[in-house]
Amino acid sequence: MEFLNPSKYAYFPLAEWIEKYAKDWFFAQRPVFKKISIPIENTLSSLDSLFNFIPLPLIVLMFAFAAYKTNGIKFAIFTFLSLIFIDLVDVWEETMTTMAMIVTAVLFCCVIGIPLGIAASRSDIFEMIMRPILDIMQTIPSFVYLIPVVMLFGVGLTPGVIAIIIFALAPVIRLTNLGLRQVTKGVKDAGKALGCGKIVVLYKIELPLALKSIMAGVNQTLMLALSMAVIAALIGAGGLGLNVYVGLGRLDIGQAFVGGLGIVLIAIIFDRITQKIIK
Amino acid sequence: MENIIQLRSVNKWFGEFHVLKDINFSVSEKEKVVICGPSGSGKSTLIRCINRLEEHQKGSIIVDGMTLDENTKNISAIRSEVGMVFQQFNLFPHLSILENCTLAQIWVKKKTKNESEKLAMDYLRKVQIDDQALKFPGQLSGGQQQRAAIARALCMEPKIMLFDEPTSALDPEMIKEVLDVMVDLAKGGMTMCVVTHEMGFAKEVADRVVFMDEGNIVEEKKTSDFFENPENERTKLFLSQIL
Ligand SMILES: Nc1ncnc2c1ncn2[C@@H]1O[C@H](COP(=O)(O)OP(=O)(O)OP(=O)(O)O)[C@@H](O)[C@H]1O
Ligand SMILES: [Mg+2]
Repeated sequence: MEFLNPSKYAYFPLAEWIEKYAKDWFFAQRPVFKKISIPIENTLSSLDSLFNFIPLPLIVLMFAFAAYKTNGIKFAIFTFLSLIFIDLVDVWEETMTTMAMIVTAVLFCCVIGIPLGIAASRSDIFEMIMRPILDIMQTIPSFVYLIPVVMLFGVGLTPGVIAIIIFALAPVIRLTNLGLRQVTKGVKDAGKALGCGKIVVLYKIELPLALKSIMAGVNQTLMLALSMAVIAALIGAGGLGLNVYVGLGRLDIGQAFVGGLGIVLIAIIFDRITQKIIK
Repeated sequence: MENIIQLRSVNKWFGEFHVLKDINFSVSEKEKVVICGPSGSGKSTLIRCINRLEEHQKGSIIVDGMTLDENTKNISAIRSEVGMVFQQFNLFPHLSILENCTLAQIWVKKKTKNESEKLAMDYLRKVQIDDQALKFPGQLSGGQQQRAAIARALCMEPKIMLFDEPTSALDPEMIKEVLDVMVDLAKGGMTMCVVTHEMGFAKEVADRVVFMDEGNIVEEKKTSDFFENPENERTKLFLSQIL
């Protein structure tokens, strides 16, 4: 039956075409995209030096305090011990780098995602266009992002953060849109009837009422960002992800485990603290 | 007398559905008009057109000398002169009662926080919930919430007050406290348009009663005439059901 296979008679050189034309196009765009990535790069490097500048005990105490304020004494002790442990297994610096990456990524997700969420809540058409794009962004295997990101932005920490931003962006857009759409017509009418313009209604009535939902989106974005931290290491992003990646490559289970554990610990700490802030 | 609200041949459609059919309606200064009619007759839509929460498609609406059209600047000027009270209160749940009353003063009238809080407390005292000022809407009874909503509207010092079934969502024992506030307001000389089925209130304060059915103003009379000799069959039927 092999004679029925189309590939026996013809070949469509898609892979070659992309390699030949798309690649050149991507490379040609690099200077533009480098410019776009400057704010991300600056934020990242400032945060990274900030986290590495603040003395370790102070950071531990700050997190323990935040944990205490939000979740009580038990979780504060857990946070305290986890961070001490992270230093004991000698991945403190990597942890700070990962934190800087995550915080930068989440910050930019908010800066990009909240306005897009607002726009989607105002316009059904925009929402309709947005929805499949977000679906695609969330379902494409995260590895696939890495190729265009590397082509456009090169390798290193900043491209790593960009890959994280793309991967983690969807929830904050979705939940901003959802939260705003759930604000009842009645309270918006009340605002309008008092003479408030669109901007006042948005900032003083709608956004505060949607805040819980928006924060839930930020929390999900944060968790996605952490899960992407390892994959971003593939394109030269440092931090704990690099330990995992290098450890895997060398079959150094110990190093991979320590890196993975660090990510899990800060994921738990970030998650619990932000969950409580939402409430 | 000068008409502060003037609707001429106003028509409105929701899609195919003709909600307001050639409405001619006017209210003069300090007049109190009660609007009644069966559910779905277009009462809410009519008063929501007066502060442009709904847009009409044909005819003209003039409020305090300003024509309602696509001119946005006009709209916010008109809205700050026309207070509205809703059936469901619609207080801002994330703000205290006091903040509910100061929000628009600060952001629309650009008053200072102190000034606006002072005025808010004056009006909250007037509706007798000044002791609840720092609570949130969810902590108040329905009657208290509705009085807070009236105070909130009054804080903008409107010339006209629109009420859309202000007591329909209330438990019977709370209706009186809200109606008392409205009666006071009426006696103070406020121009009022009130959609309500509280015929006792209509008899006490209304100068005129308007009966609507299926998007038409079917009957419009001085209060005493309206109750004593209604002409239209539908009005008679409605009154016999409600009284
Ligand atoms: N946004 C809307 N879109 C479509 N139809 C609407 C809309 N708002 C109201 N309607 C319809 O218009 C008609 C009049 O509505 P309206 O709310 O003005 O009636 P009403 O007299 O206030 O009734 P009720 O006593 O129930 O409050 C109703 O049939 C309603 O279903
Ligand atoms: Mg109604």
